[in-house]
Amino acid sequence: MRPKSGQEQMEWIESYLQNALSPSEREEFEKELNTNAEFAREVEFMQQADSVIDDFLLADLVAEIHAEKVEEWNTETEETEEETPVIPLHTPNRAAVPWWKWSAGTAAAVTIAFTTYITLSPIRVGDTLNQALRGGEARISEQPSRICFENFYAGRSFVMTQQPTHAIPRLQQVIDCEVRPYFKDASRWYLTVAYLQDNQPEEAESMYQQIISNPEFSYDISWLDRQKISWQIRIAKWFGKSEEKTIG
Amino acid sequence: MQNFKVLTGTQSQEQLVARLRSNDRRELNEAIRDVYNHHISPVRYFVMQNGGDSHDADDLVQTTVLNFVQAVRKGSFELQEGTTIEAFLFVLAKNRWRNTLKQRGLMREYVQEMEATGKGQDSWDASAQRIMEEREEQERYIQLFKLLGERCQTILTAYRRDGLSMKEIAQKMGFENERVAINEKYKCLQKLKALFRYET
Repeated sequence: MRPKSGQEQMEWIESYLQNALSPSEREEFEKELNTNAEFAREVEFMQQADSVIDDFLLADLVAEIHAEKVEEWNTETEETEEETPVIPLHTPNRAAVPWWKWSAGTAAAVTIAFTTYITLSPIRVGDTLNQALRGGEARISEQPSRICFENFYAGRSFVMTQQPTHAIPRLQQVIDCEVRPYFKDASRWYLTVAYLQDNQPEEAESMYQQIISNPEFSYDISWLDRQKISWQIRIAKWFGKSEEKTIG
Repeated sequence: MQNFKVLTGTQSQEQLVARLRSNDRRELNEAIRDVYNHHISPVRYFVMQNGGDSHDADDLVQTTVLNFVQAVRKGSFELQEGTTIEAFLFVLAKNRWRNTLKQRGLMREYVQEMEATGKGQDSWDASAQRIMEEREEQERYIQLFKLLGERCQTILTAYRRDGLSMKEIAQKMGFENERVAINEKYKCLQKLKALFRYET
């Protein structure tokens, strides 16, 4: 039976929206809904209110999680700045290595400084989106190219955030894409770095060989970054062999 | 096909989308955390590389996640084979960031180049634009809801947020009994209706 007071009507509508009415009550409700315009507006308002409450709660939940995550990110940044001013691509286990292996190049202090620098300093990954756009690729709007484009940026960002396992499959897909050489070549460079981050120096070396043996390679890698990558590949391979020997 | 899904991570993405649609608040909470943990980092770096600082990046991340989750829950986003969640998040963020740059009058060249990317043809851009507009509309109503004040907000959200019955709400709010709580809820809804009418 149709409620008389506004308050009872609110409860009736809520029961309907929560699917809590019996079949006969539901039938009566829908009859009222179809014949009474004012009642239909009331139901519409209650649906809208429900939707706004859902949106409000969701925004609240995202804000809560977001605040926690920002705090985590800030803590990570502070710890990174305090403990490791420079994040190397590959962090060798120095404690396991005798000092004399490290000081093989002690003949010249400059050599050591340079060697240390190219061993530990990060390799530059990626130019700005603006520069990349000047490569012309992003103007292609067909869906497959769009996917390649998004994979490229996601892959590069994962390299920058030291998440090589996420980066590698995406960048490999870019290399197989029908895109201009600029993006393929940039992806080869990011892949080299990603393999090194993922402790796969052989894969990194193979990719880097493809880069240096290609006279038409179109992505600009600085001389210093080339020194860093080839040195860090060697170091990673050397440590890999040392570890194998130790295990053996 | 199964191997392809595993390789591209599509399978777990389907699961994530299903969890984002959940009405179980705990499951939804964990799913949103997964978006933060596994899919959002490209957005942060994109902003910081393109004229924004870490505050801009954090703001854009929050807006992008909220827009995305709402789009998933309202059915505006469907995961398609060969696409990834982070790629879609990236498109949402890029559109939003482009607007921010325009509003700030910054990087004219950058904005022009962005607009040249598949102008009017890219279904993802169109979808991102639509989601952004929907979200602006929703935000207007959320602001009206906030005008009700904390007491009414608590009464109206307690059932969904904490699963409280009217009796439990009465106890929480210090009302004499359940009928008083129902009456208060009715008054809050009448206020909200007045605010909606005023807005339209």
